Amino acid sequence: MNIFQWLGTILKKPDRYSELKQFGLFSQLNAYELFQISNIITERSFKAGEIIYEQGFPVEAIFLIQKGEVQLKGSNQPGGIRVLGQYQIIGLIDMFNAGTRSCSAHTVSPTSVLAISRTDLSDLIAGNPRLGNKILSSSCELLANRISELNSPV
Amino acid sequence: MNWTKALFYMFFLAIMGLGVYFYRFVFSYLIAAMMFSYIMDPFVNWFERRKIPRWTSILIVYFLIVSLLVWFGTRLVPILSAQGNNLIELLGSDRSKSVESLLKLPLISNVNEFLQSLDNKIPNLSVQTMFTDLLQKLIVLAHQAPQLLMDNISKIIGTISFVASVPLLSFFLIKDKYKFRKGILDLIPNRWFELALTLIHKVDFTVGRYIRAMLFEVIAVGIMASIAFSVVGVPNPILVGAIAGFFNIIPYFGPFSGFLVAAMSILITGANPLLVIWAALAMWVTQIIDNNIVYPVVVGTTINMHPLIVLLTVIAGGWIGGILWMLISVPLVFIVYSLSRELYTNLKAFKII
Repeated sequence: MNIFQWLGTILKKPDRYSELKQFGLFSQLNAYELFQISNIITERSFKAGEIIYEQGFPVEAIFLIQKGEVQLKGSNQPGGIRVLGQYQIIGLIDMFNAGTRSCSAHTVSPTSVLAISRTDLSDLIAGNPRLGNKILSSSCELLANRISELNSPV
Repeated sequence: MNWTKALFYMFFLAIMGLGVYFYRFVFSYLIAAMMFSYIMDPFVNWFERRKIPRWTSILIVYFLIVSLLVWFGTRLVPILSAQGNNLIELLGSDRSKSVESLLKLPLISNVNEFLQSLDNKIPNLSVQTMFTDLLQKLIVLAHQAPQLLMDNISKIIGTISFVASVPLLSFFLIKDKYKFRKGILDLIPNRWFELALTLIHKVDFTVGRYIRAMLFEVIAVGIMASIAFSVVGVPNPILVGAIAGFFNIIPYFGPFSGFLVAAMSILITGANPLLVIWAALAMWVTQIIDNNIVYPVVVGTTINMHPLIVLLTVIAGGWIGGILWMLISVPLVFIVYSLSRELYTNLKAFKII
C-alpha cells in the first residue's frame, strides 16, 4: 500500500496484483489502486455444495470467483438457474439496490472466492474518486453486457 | 459429539482461560491503544490516499500531535497551574475566615438578616442557626471539593501518561489494520462470514465516530467555554473552561456541572455574586453553539438516551470509580447499548436467532 511497495509492484513484480485485473470490475485500475483493493479483500474457500448466501439475507459482500463454479438460483435468473465460473462476479446487482439478496448462491465444485465488503468498497470510493469512477464505469459495462445478454434471442 | 472432540474443546477452553488470566493486565492497555488508533485512523487514511506509506503517515501524525502538545503545554500549563494554585490558596485562607467572613458577603448577609427577623417573629424556629450550620458544612465541603478535584486531576494526568505509553501499541494496530481484520475474518466460519463483516463495520463506525466526536467535543467546548468565561469575567476562566469541557462528555448534566464549577469559582474568590448569572449565560451560549453547530457537524445525530438513564448511569459510574468513571460511564453504556442493538438486528436479519 505504500509508495515503496507500489514502486516494487511496478519494478520488480509487475504481476503481483494482476490477478485482480482479470475481474471485469477492476480491469481499468492501476497497480496502486489494485493494491488498495487488495487491502479490503478477504479470501474465502467453500466446499462443493456449500451455501454462499441465501435469498432474503442482507447484502454485505460481493464475491469474485477465483476458481470453481457457483450456481445462482432465483426468480430473476433466466430459467431460474445460472452457473457462474472463474473471474465472474456474484452479488453485483444486489450491491446497488441496498436491500436483500435477490437469489441464493451455492457452490457446484470446490470454490475459492474473494469477498469484498460493499461498505469498505464505498469508503474506498469516497476517498478515491478517481478509483471510484473507474469501478463505476466498469460495473456499468458489466451490467450493460448482462442486459444485452438477456435481451438477445437465444 | 465424540470424546476426543469434547476433550479437545475442553483443552482449548483451558488454554483460552489461562491466556486471559495471563494477559489480564494488558487489556486496559489494548483498549486504550484501540481508542487511540480510532482517533488517529482518519488522519493516517488521509496520508495513505496520497500514496504515503502507512507507517510513515503514522510517524508524521505522531510528530504533529507531539509538537501540538508541546506547544499547548508550554503556553497553557503555566496558566492552568497558576489558576489552580490561585484557587487552592484562596480556599486555604478561607479556612481561617470561616462562617463570619461569608456572612459579610452582601447576598448572604441579606438572607441571614431575613432569617433572623423570621426567628424573632416565630418563636422556637431557629432557622438562623440552621442556616449558619449549613454554611459551615458548605465551607467544609468547599474545602474538600478542590482537593478532591485535584486528586482526580492527578488521576487524569496519570491516565494521560498511561495513554502516552500506548502509542507504541497503537502504531502496530494502525499499521497492520487490514491484516488484523483479515486475521479475524479468517477465523469466522463461512456461514457467519457476512454477519461478521457487517458487525465489524458497525463496531468500527459506531465506536470510531463516537470516540472521535467525544474528543472533538471536549476540545471545542473547552475552548469555547474558556473564551466565554473570560469575556464575562469569571475568575480562572481557562481552568474552569477546561473542566467544563471534560464534563461535557455527560449529556444533559455535563453543561450544568460545568456551570456549577464556574459558580464555585466565582463564589469562593469573592467576586460579585451577580457574575454567576453571567456565567450561566456564557455556558448557555456555549451550549447553543455546541448543540446547533459543533455537534450536528461532528456527530450528525445526538445521543438518544433518556435523561433518567443518563443520570442513573452517571450515579452508577460514580459508585464504581469516582469522577473518572462518571465521565466514561455514559459513553461506555451508549456504545454497549448501540452495539447490542446492532447485534440483535443483524442476527435477526441473517435468521440466526
